[in-house]
Amino acid sequence: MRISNATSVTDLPIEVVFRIFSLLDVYDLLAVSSLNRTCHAIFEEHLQFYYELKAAGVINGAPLMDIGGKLQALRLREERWRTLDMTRHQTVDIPHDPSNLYDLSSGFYVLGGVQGNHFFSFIEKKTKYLRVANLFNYHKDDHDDAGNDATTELVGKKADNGEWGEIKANGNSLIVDFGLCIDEHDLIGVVEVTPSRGERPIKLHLRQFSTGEYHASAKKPVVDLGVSRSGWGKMSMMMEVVGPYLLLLLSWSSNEEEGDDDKRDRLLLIDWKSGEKLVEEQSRTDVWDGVVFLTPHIFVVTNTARGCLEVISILQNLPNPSAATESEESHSQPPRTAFTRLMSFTLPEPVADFRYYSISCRADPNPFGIEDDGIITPGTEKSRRALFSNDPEKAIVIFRIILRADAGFIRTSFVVHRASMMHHVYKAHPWILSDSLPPHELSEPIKIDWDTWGPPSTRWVFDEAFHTQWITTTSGQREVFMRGEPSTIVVRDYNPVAVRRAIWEKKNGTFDDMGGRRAVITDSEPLSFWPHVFTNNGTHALPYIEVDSEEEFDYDGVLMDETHLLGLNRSDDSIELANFDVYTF
Amino acid sequence: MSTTEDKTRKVKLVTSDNEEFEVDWEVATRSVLIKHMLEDIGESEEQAIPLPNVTANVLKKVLEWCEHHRKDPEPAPESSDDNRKRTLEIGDWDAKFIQVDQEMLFEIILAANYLDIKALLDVGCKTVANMIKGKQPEEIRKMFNIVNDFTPEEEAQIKKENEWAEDR
Repeated sequence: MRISNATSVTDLPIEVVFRIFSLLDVYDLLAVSSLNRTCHAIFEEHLQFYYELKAAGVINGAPLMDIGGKLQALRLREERWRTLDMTRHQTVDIPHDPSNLYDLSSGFYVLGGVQGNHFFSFIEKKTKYLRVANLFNYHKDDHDDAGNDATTELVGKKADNGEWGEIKANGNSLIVDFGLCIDEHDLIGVVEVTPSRGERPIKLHLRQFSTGEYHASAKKPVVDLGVSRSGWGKMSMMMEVVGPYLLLLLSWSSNEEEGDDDKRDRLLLIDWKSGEKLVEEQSRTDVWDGVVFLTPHIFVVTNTARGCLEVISILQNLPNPSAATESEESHSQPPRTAFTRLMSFTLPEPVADFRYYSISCRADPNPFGIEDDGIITPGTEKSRRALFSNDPEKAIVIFRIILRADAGFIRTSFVVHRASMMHHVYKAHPWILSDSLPPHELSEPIKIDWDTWGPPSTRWVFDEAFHTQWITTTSGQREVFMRGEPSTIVVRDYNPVAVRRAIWEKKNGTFDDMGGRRAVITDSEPLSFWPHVFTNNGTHALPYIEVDSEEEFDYDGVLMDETHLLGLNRSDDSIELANFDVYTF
Repeated sequence: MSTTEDKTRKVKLVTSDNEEFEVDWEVATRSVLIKHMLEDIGESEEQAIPLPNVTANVLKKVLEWCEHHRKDPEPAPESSDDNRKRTLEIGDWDAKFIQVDQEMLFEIILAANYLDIKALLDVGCKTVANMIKGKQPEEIRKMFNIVNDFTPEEEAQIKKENEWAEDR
């Protein structure tokens, strides 16, 4: 027997056709579905779910139910977000005295806690422990039961108060901050400082998120990060974990003393499994504020001093320079890892009175790390609990900016898709696509002006009333905030596929505006506040669909992850968070 | 099975058009099918492995790929439900390797599928996916000689369903 000449895609065995088609994105899938009857049948029978996943910007998750069931669950969830259906909710009391540390990721709300009642604790909250609420425990419905079975496990050691898991600081140490990597590695990195008069040792503790024990994959579960000094001011930290990389930005409040030119801020890349520091850079304290991964090997660090976003590539397996010239012995030196600055995305130029004061950033979810053999690391079994999860490549990044003038501060923020930043990176550095090394030593990063990249691909928010102190207000391609007085909750969806459909529906008179609550926004007019702050042209053209909540709320803040909205309430007599409402979508 | 002895061992393969190839064990066992056949036969036998679904010109090309990738780590087993984002990127060497005419491309895909060489199958599938990417249905039909067998009514219906996605 000999296989007859296959000259067309449709002559291939069905499993191969499926394999090819499942590599395609939304519009290409629609194109192949309309080639002929065979392709149409393949699409209807096998690809509908993958098509809807891609159209929603999500990737498949845990195999907890069959494809039909998952498709139903996906449609239901998308519909709830589309209409901002807030019917499924529960109020949760915060049983401890919370500090300012928090994160919300993958269905877990982590909130720092203060020990005892200190009179001055409102000035500087000293975090002694972290408490974790599993948000999947706060709703019950048929569809989620399958998901819940896999998630009932408690996080960390059960705290005295109810359902919250707990991770404690060691001895008399204080928790400075922490970073989560739940879906990929079941990891929480906790940075602790031991108080003392002079040098304060800083340690990174790598723990398993689900148990609170030291992480089994971390060869050195406690990594020494040097010291902090009492005269350096407040220390802050930002941590992101992708694949083997743990990227850590340690910074202190500004070099205020005259002549204090210490480069004490540190950008550290650590292989968290081996505990080795791969790369370290230092800087004055007024330069870096935030880091965010764009791909498993490329990240952004915000540069407040220069008003730009630096795109840095992590280059692996570089030959060790000494190895080329030196003797046999140096050949045994391991290959080098280095940062290479690829691009500098300029931010708009502030008007004369203003300057950038801080630029923080976040994107959820993080990319998954790619192993050496090119296979994307699957999540740990325990964490693969969601039926599907937002596609990191399609997610938006939020940049929160504070500008300073003599008269005071202005807060603003904008969003941009990871993919649109990467579009410019790939255009300037095509060698990245073929996963090779740069063709020559890259001397200067390629600068791209705000006017080139910003206006077509960003969307800004200025109004002070929108601002919250929290940054976990985006997930996937959605963003949440409160607007107006009294306030409604507003959810924006920047998914270009949904937007395209909405624009078409609007043109054809079939757009569902939910009685005036829902709208598709395509205009690019500058915000009225813009010319008071920036000199550049302020058009911002990233289109979105916006939906307002039916009811009004007086939350002190709103947060989101991919299936939850959190409305935070402070207690009546203090600024502490007292409870929150969880809305499940 | 992958002991050091295996590495020096030669394997004989016979194609559908009766051509015999002698290759290193390490090269031949990039194919999971051949690997399993060798395990079934046992080590002592000098028997040639018949590959009735592959012609000599295609096997030559496939073995060229296997030779280049002989040291690659074993691919991880695929989970059937795993639909994590796969990129359409292809490595430099593979991209050059797969620059063949369309008939050969499909023959390589078929052979990789039959011989169970996941990584090569991926290269082929990604290449075809890249060819489809960004094209209109009519262009894709032309490229792959696909006959449009819809009735006018069916076609109108599909066009209507997909209208929102058309370029304005």
